[in-house]
Amino acid sequence: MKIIRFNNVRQSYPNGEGIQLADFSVGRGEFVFLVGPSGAGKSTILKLIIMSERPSSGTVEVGEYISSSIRPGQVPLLRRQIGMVFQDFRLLQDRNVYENVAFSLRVIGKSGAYIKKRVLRVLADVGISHKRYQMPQNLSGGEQQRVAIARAIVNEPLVVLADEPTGNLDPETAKDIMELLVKINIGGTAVLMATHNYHLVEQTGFRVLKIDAGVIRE
Amino acid sequence: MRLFIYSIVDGLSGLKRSGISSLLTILTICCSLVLLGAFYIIRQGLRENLQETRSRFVLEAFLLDAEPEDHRKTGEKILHLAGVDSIEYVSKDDALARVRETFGDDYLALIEDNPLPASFHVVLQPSYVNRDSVARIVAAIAGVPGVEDVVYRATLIDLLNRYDRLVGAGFIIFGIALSILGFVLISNNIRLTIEAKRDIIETMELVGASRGLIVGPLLIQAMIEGGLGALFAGIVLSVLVQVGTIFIPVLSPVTATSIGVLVLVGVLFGFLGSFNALGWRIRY
Ligand SMILES: Nc1ncnc2c1ncn2[C@@H]1O[C@H](COP(=O)(O)OP(=O)(O)OP(=O)(O)O)[C@@H](O)[C@H]1O
Ligand SMILES: [Mg+2]
Repeated sequence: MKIIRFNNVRQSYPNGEGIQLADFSVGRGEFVFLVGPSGAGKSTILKLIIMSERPSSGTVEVGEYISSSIRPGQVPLLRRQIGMVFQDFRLLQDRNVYENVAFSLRVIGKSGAYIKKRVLRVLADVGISHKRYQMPQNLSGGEQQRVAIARAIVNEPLVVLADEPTGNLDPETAKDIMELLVKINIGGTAVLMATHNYHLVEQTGFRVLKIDAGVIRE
Repeated sequence: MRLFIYSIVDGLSGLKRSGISSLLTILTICCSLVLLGAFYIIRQGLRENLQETRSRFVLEAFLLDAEPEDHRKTGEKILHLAGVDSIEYVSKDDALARVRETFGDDYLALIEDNPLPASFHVVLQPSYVNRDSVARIVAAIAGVPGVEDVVYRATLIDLLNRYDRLVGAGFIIFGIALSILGFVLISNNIRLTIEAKRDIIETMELVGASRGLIVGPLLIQAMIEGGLGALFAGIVLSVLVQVGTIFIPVLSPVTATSIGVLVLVGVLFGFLGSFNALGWRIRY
């Protein structure tokens, strides 16, 4: 059962950069690394998955949605099945940790009681519940990334997309975050993690997708 | 429904979160509306004053000597002319009595025969008190059989005419300009607020927030800001009018209803302003 499938995707930008060919899929519950040097197109692949970009040719399938036929109004629905984690955390700076995580559930219209129970649970899972009333800017990078991960998994997505999630962290903290993502994967959620840190990848033994001269194949 | 409640709750906490910029929006709306409101109140005061002056304007139609019954018929004809509001009959005796009142008995003791003609004091409908209509009505009254002459204060009409133009077209153009200025200010202010939230909006989109969930709270926040700004403007205006009445007695006090209307205008300004500011931001 595949949750993400790239069918002969090409994504070219006016400046000649981009993806030449992407043809691969990610299965339910898989942990997959997406590796390649800076500028190889890793973030581009992730943008194609959340459909903030459409491919120049080929199609991207995510869950029940296909890039060629998805309507704009369906894009939020698609994104609710995907958890996103970024190198620069991207928390909502105007509200505290609890509200940041709760927002993903408000988006899907969960009840207040459910939100409370679920958010506290997930904050505990990622080990940040003691800071739940802090504002993001008062947290360390590692703590912010834990909050971001909590936000990504709180509505039980099909897959978590992580774009260089350890890029801004020291090696020790990076290891903690890595372990957290693995833990999430063990819980049954697929993880697609983009990184240019080959060292990190080699240690784990998970499946690796390499972008080589703009080409990704199984 | 849940979205609506969330929008209100989050719109309210948005006020707190935005802090200074929210305060600035409220202040902008307040200032714009104070300006607009003061302008309106002054215009209204002038208008009422003009209306009052108009209703006090009278034409005097002097009558040829005739039987009272003929005078009555003449009066009826005058009353039926377009623009005539009411008439008052002043008989020869009344006229004499009035002169006596003004100048004293001695002055008239010399005269045996009453030389004063009977007349009608003609009050016009206020909207007819302008140069053209008055000229037309005067001609019409003069044409009524039994009327000898019609007199009125032409200078007053000229004065009224001049004020009219000021309170009419001039004020309306000025008022529209002021409204547009206020709207642009408010809209820009809200645009800045939203621009400052650009990252937040983008992140919300990434998390799968629908358009309503992003826009709802922003709209509600702007509407609350508009309402608050208008409320403050209403308070400022009533104080200003209280103070202003000492110098300009024609100002009418600010009522609760007009504050209510002002708040509605403020809410509308907030809504339109943020709608205008948001339009380009939301992709779906
Ligand atoms: N919207 C765009 N318009 C034009 N060019 C773009 C656009 N997005 C990305 N690119 C180009 O496509 C290439 C791939 O970018 P991408 O961000 O996917 O790389 P990356 O593998 O994520 O790199 P990094 O490791 O530095 O994050 C880059 O050369 C970039 O300049
Ligand atoms: Mg990148």
